[in-house]
Parts: sequence; structure tokens; C-alpha cells
Amino acid sequence: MTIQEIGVAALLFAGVGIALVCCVGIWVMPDTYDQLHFAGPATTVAPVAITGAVILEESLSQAGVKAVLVAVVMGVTGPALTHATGRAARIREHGHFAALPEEMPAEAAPADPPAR
Amino acid sequence: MQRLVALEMAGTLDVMVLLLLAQGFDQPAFYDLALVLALLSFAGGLVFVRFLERWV
Repeated sequence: MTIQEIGVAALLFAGVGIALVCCVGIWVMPDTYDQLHFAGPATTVAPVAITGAVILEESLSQAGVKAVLVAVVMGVTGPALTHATGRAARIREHGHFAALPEEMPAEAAPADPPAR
Repeated sequence: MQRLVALEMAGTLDVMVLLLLAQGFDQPAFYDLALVLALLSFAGGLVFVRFLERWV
């Protein structure tokens, strides 16, 4: 077994393992926002690992370049979609996206009017 | 919303499965399928997000 094959196997196991952990996390977590924390790495880290395995196997041939393109597209669009989903979930929950008064930090909250 | 998260995750997994199938069957043309699916799942996810945010 050559160094290249070991690297390909390691990257492949890493990518598939990360995807598996993210799937289990989405299955187990009870809240949409907690689930979104697991949807993030599945769209960024796992494709990079799998693309790395493809590049180690194929070098930068046509297949390697296309795999890099897929990883770049997923790395750019995945976090944007995750953020949009979280924003939509919050708008459905509260009716707007702005912070609630109880979520504001103490120093940013408006001071109480002086008592007369 | 949890179902939408699951749908997005399924799209992501499908893209990675297509990548691995293209490499496994040694068909470089199949990488285009993964690329098109990645773009379309993003567009479809944004449309679903907009619908769920406003109307449903």
C-alpha cells in the first residue's frame, strides 16, 4: 500500500465520517438551530475531504478540476443557504429578524427614564 | 423548518455520492451531474426558504 493510497483512504474516511456525524447530529438534535450547526460542516468540510481524495487519485486532470469546482460551489453556497434557513426559521418564529429586547446586551439596552 | 434542513442535507449528500460514483465508475462526465445538482439544490433551497419565510 503506497503513501498515495493511504492518503486517499484517509481523506475518504474523513469525508464520509464527517457526513455521517452530521447526519446523526441532524437526526438527534431537537431544534432547527441546533440542526443547522450540523448542516454547516457537511457542506464545507466533507466535500473538501472527498475532493482532496479525488485529486490525490487523479491529480489535476479533468476529473480533478471538476471535483474542485464542485467543492468550491458547495463551500460558497452551503453557508449562505444555512444562514438563509436560520433567518427564515427565526422570522417564522418571531415574525421578524431583529433582536428581541431580552436578547440585547445590558449596556446596549436603553436606560430607564428617571423617576419624578 | 426541520424538514427543510433535512432536504438540504439530502441534497448535499447526493452531490457527494455523485462525486464518488463518478470517480468509482471512472466517468469524468458524471462530475457535471454533481456540479449541476449542487447549483440546483442551492437555488431550490433558497426558493423553499423564501416560501416558508413569507407564506406558509
